[in-house]
Amino acid sequence: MAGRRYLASTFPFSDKSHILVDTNVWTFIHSVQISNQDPGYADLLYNKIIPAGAHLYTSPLIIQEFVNVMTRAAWRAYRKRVNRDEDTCPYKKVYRRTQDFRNNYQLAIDIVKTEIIPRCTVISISPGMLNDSITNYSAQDFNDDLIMKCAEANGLIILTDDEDFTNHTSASTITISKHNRKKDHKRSYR
Amino acid sequence: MDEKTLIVKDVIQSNLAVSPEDGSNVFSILESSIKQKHLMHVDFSGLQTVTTAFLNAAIGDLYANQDRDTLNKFIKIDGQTLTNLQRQKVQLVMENARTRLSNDEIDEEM
Repeated sequence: MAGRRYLASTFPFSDKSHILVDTNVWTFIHSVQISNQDPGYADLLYNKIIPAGAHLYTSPLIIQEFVNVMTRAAWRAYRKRVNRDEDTCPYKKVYRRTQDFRNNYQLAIDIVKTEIIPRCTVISISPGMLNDSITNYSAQDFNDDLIMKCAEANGLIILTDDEDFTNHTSASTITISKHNRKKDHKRSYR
Repeated sequence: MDEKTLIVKDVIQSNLAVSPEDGSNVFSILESSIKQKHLMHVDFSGLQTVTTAFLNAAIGDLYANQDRDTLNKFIKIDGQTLTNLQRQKVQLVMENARTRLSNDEIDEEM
């Protein structure tokens, strides 16, 4: 069955909404290195979706991706600060031993503990979903495919900024319109 | 030097300091205060949630564009009004303000 694409600006969020919040939304809201480019998801989630009483969902896969993106973005910013590249500051051998990594990893875990888990129902991935993802895969990214299967199996709409999802036909998605992005706060990039 | 206190909760009229737009309002007040050479104490008390999206717009942009000496002279963040997690976020936003990732770099990470 074809999924529908909804725009956040017109979606009728209510206590009947069941939403799987994708990794990129959490990252736009909470990553130190990325949240200055938030196109409006912080406002949407905290000032519209949560007050409407919508039910939020997450999965271990999304949490794993979130922690990974948080620390990889921190690694990239760290390399810029110390003027080193991937070869001279490899992630596992060098960066993971720094205080900067420990600080950013701790922040990611604290956000999972205080902002994601308490607000979301955690859904698991069943062997059936996994099997479906390796036999009837449809996306270009295995994690995305598994998240879509998860959403479909649980009757959830995915809140995402990911084009791979929004161009996909089987998962229903909500996203912020590319034409409705909030850019006025990005003074440093003028 | 004149001293004032900016109570974030009063400026944004909410206990959720979450959106860049609200952070931008705080930024404008702090920037104006620096121009007028007033010492501003920033009070974060009473906030249930503070996101880095908010902090990047409120404080990160200041630290990206102003020199440290000026900021140390005119802006005092009241650490007592922050929770441990909020303090951790403020510190990381300050540290990263001058090495933000470009759009292309963010696309690669996400």
